Amino acid sequence: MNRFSALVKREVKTSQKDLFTYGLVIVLVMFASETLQSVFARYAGVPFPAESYNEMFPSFLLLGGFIISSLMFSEDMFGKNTQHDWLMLPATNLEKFLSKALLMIVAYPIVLVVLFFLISVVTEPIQLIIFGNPMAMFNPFRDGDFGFLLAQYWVWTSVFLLGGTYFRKAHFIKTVLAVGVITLALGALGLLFSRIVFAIKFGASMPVSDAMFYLSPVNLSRALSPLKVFSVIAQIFYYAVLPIFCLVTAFFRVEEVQATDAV
Amino acid sequence: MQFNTHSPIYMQIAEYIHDLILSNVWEDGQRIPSVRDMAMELEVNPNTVIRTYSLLQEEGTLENQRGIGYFTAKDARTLVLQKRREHFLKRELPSLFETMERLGLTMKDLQQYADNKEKDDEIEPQEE
Amino acid sequence: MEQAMQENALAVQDGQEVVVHMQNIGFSYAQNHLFNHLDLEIRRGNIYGLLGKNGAGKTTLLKILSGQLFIEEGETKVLEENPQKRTPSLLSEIFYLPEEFPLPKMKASEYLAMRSPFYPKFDHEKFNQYCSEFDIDLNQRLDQMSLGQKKKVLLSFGLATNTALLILDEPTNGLDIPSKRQFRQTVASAMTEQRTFIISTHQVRDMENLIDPIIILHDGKVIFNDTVESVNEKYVLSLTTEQPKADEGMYTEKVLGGWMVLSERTDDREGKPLDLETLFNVIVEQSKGSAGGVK
Repeated sequence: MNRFSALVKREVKTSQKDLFTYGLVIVLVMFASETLQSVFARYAGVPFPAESYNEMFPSFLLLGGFIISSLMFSEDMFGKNTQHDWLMLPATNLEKFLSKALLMIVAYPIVLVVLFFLISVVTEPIQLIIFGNPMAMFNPFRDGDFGFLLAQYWVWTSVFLLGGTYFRKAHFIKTVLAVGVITLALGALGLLFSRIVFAIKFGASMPVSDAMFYLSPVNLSRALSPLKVFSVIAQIFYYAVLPIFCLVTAFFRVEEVQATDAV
Repeated sequence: MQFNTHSPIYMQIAEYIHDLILSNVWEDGQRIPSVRDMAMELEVNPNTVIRTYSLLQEEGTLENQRGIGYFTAKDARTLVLQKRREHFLKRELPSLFETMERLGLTMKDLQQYADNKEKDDEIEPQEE
Repeated sequence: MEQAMQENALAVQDGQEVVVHMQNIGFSYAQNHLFNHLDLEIRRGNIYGLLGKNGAGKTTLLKILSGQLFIEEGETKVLEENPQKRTPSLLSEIFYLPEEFPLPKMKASEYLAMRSPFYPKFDHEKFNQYCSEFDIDLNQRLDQMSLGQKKKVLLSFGLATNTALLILDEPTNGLDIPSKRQFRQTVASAMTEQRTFIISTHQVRDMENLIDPIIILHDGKVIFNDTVESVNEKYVLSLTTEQPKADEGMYTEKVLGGWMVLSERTDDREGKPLDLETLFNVIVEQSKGSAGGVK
């Protein structure tokens, strides 16, 4: 445990400058957007949107989180001159992996929520005094889809952590491309699958117009009701199997990583 | 200390220690630097110093008191002096005579050199 | 000669625990075979010097035995463990000082606070002592230091970790002349019977009197792993003014004022011991002539 906290401290300490810069960017972006909106609300009569924090939060959580996740292992696993420091650090491979993964999966959303809240605590009173706008604190639970958002984050940050350990360079872009390719392939397979299912059900030579009739909402739900099971399976797969698979594979990558080149 | 390439380092260190004893930098029965300190001072492998110390221990110049450290022997200076004299008479003197013979120098020339040196030393007694 | 030397090595080193044992190692980069049936044994309580030409694989060997590279063939045991597993118990007994490395953007004192908790036997007093010997300001930022200064910080750190094994890859590269001297002194003073140093170097002269035994890596194999003394006991270098005949001596080298000839030591034959540079040249030269090593 002592070793693990030392690992976490090392992660934070070595990237504190970058994290600080990132935090500052969030503060400035939020403050600027709030101010602009206030100005518009006051002088152009555009109604003041109360949910700007809730609108911006997902993009920082997802986009920012995915980029950081995919860069998380970059230096320590693949930096020619930097990797030895991590590889030779006396801790288990699992501890090393978890120190990074948990920081991204658990700590990052918490810190981001706190940061957004703090920004709103500071910004809102200023807006109230200067522009007379109503106080609208950041409340992640306001829209009720916070849980859904976090679930998406959990799934996809695991994917990007795997991308970060799998690709030696350009981790983020390559992960996005890989996900795109895999999605296309799965989509094609799905299309093929549904074509086969429909062909079995309706006969291969049914005209498209007839198919459209069968695809009307009433018929569709009836036609798809046997597929409910598939939907549950798909959800389990999406929210549990996929991310856990990604994390386990990423861990194996950490265990297998070697020095890039030596002689 | 400057090492040369003529003999193994542990031998050179042994000679260096002989010199220290002869010139009374290390007195008889005195405690001497540990292996580690000596290795550090001479910038050599500590195992080399261990080798030197055990060599000197064998010939009786040094004594190892377990748990305390290394000391020069009670009669270290006499021992080294004897060893050096022996070495001079057996090794250096014959080659000196050989050179003298080759250059046509006699004992007379040697005597003359010794007399002159005595005179010089009277004028400048500090010079060695 | 090879077998005689091995027997001698056993006699000298008997009783010292084996800390690194490599057997039948095969390793290659892509299609490029680097090591073929390499064997190596390293015993506790010595300062080993790892010598080899450029590209002989010195760094690769060090990375293999520290678990940073995985072998394709053979067996490696370091302190009774397989280094590829990278267990904390083994890693906390190895310190590796690479040839080149960036250090994080922080003060030396912050680096110490961040890194030292990983080493259970870390000695803060010793660290401060080494740093002051090397004239290092702990409040200076690491990223503003020269390579030499960074090396001195990391070396001080490594010596203070009290690990059983210290691997130093070209440690005197980038050190100025006084620092090289300090380096030798510090390593000599930090040496104990419990520790083992493996120092790879091109600059033999920097460490002439410090490293012993010598490991020579050549053509994918360890062709020599023995003390300098074991060679000097049997062989001697002498200077002659006449050009030696082709069959005279085991090794000859043209030098200023004549030829250096290496021959078997006999009682009446005066001569000088081998310096490391000559030793290296002799061993590498002989391994070319006859596949079985020095004959």
